[in-house]
Amino acid sequence: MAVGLLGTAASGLQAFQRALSVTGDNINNANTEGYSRQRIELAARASTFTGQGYIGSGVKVQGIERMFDQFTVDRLRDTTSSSSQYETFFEFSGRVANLLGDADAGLSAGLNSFFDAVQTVADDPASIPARQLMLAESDSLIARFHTLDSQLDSMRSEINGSMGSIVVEINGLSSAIADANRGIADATSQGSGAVPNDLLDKRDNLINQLSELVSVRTVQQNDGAVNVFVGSGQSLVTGYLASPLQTVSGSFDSSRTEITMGNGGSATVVTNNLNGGKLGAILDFRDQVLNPAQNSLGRIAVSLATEFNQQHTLGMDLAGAVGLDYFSITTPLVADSTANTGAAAVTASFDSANIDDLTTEDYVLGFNAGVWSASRASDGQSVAMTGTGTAADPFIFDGLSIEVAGIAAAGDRFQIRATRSGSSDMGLLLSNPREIAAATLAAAAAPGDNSNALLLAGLQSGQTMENGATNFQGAYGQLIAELGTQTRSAQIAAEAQGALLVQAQESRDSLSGVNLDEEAANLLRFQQAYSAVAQVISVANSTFQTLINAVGR
Amino acid sequence: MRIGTLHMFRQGVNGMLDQQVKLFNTQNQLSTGKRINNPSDDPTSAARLIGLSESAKTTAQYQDNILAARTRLELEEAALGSVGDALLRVRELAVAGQNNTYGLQERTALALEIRQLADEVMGLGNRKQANGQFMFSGYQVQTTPFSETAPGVFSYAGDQGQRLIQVGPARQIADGDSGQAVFMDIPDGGGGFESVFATLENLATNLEANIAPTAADLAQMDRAMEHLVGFRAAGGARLNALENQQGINETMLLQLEVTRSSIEDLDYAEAASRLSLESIVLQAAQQAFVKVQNLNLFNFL
Repeated sequence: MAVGLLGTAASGLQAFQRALSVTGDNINNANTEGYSRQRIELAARASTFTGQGYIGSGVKVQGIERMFDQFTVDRLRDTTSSSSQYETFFEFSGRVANLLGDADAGLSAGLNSFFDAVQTVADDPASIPARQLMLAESDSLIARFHTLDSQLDSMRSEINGSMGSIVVEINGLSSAIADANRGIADATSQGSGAVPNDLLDKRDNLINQLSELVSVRTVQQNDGAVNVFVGSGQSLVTGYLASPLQTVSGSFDSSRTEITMGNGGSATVVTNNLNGGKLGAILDFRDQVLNPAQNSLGRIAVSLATEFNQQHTLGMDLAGAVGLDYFSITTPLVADSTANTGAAAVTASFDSANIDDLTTEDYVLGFNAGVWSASRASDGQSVAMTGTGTAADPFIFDGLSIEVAGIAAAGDRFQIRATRSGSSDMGLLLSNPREIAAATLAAAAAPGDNSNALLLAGLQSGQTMENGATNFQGAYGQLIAELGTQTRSAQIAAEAQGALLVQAQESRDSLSGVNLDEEAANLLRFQQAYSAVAQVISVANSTFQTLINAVGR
Repeated sequence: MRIGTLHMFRQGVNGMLDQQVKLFNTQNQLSTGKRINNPSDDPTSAARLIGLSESAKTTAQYQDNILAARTRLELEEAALGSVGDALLRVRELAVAGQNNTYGLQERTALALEIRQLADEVMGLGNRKQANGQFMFSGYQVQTTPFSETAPGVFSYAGDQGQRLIQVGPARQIADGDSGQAVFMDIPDGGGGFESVFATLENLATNLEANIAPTAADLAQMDRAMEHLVGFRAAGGARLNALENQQGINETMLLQLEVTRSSIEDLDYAEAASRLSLESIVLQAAQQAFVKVQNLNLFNFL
């Protein structure tokens, strides 16, 4: 009888010691990111049959449960992805908007000063200082184009660098997840069904970190391993195996970094399939903000230079000579795809007669079934073009003139970045102030004639962009409004996603998070239970002692 | 419902951080005095501001242009005034020369003065602007317009160019007249033209030969003076027009500034009270954080 009581009490001591140690573990990990609180499950031990009936034989630890719900964890992961995506997008696009929208450093002030200087020449066309001022203001306008453009360029290199480091981070996380998969599967089989809670937490935390970088989907396997998919279903982790991502230079443009998956010959470009998280944000930023902004700035440079040159060459300089080209611009960038097999060469130039048709798009010129066709790079929509592509009759579309020489193979593709380098290629051709063609072309020099200078100054308000819908400054205003709107909506989305993230975190924590008050209460509860059980031992002991004493007398 | 301790901590910290961001933005607005500091603060208005600043800068440039044109027109006005005075004096001398009692001696004296006045008129015709350029040589601003190439032969070396100055978005005003129009193309009453120099030379030559000026000579003098008055009136009208345009531009600048201010400038009263509200909220968040963090069952064990 007393021996039975001792046994029962011993089971209690053991159980409550376990309970105290689980509580202690929870308290210790109250500040551990991703830790799920654990709960001890106690159960009565099987009772034994005596003549008087079944008598209980104590308590046992049924298991240690990890408080966890897959749904809340998935939701937390999704909101982490979108939150970090919008946060990053907002940060990057805000930088471009602030750079170009700055009242002093932006293009707007430079355009104003330049045209003011043209007006000054119109006021006093024979004045050499006025002409020198106009050249100086032209120089600083060009410097402004160059500075803004190089800042956008350096953001591109920054993005390429970020893509590289994010890919390294993703690879590290995915191989850690694969390792955790193996550890969990091993521990589960060794523990005959019991799961290693800390490893599960660790893996969940890794996947959560991964979701900050790129959006992920997981599928649970029977052996406890999870398969992780990124983007539109690319398998990043399969069981114990992680497929590494890699960064490579783009097939058209070596300054454009692409991401591939798989090794060697089987590597495929997955850039367009990746979305969500920091990586998704950077890729979106590159295609939706950075490239269009640089094209937009370049378009203003190309339009301004072309229009100004056209008017300038209609005039006459101080010496009575016909006006020369004022600004220099080069041609649109054309890149062959590295996959091309034909021998065709494509050259592009600006179609100065239709320069107001110029857009901010990049184009792809493709040769299929014996026919050349053009489409927009952004959305693949085809663009109508006229001409046959020969030197005498070039393809004409959207302010561009394209000439094709040599024989192309079916499937050959050429990318035309019409205005990407417009800003950086802009230069000033005139260096002698006397060569400014302020006068209208006449039989003899007319130093006091300002007619052409008036027409040059008038270009400021000329509706020469967007098919004659706006002027240079207006096109710039549109760019700023667009950047502002993109940044603003990213900001709003980031705030909304931030709130959702807090909610998801809250609902995950309301189940899995450690609450110190609760643990303190549990500590008290189990400590008291332990003391009570110790009391039972003491009673068992004294009962036994009573018996010994009685017998010994 | 239960709350994780870590979550409670995080929430408290996030709350304070959010408030700090708001407070920082308000502080930034107060220190710049601008409601819009980044394009994303109000994208549409940011684009409008670019247009407004372009209009304001261009209008200010028109005001500069007006100043340049006005200086020139005023100098031309002064020159033409002096020419008018000289011609008036010549006419007096011509009338005096008709006096029957005058002989060769008197007429030669008259001719001498007329020649001096003729030199003065040519000097005025060859006058320069403040920038050193000839006033009456059309576009040939570096060429002396008038000269006597041979005794009694006067030529004009400028051209007929008349420069227009942009003084408003759609308004150009001439900043002068060519010497050809002012001094050379004076109607001779018979469908042809005679220069003012030739008229004066003619008078002087006749007087030197003791020939009294005829009625036709006087009529030619009158036509020259009338012609000149026409140009002075036109110059005055242009000066008036410049003044009007200046007023219009000023109103425009004011209007632009009012619009810019209403879009961009901060409502200080509103921002200041927002600032104090936000700092109260931040303080409350800080105090709540400390209070809540101190609430812990372990404190009582």
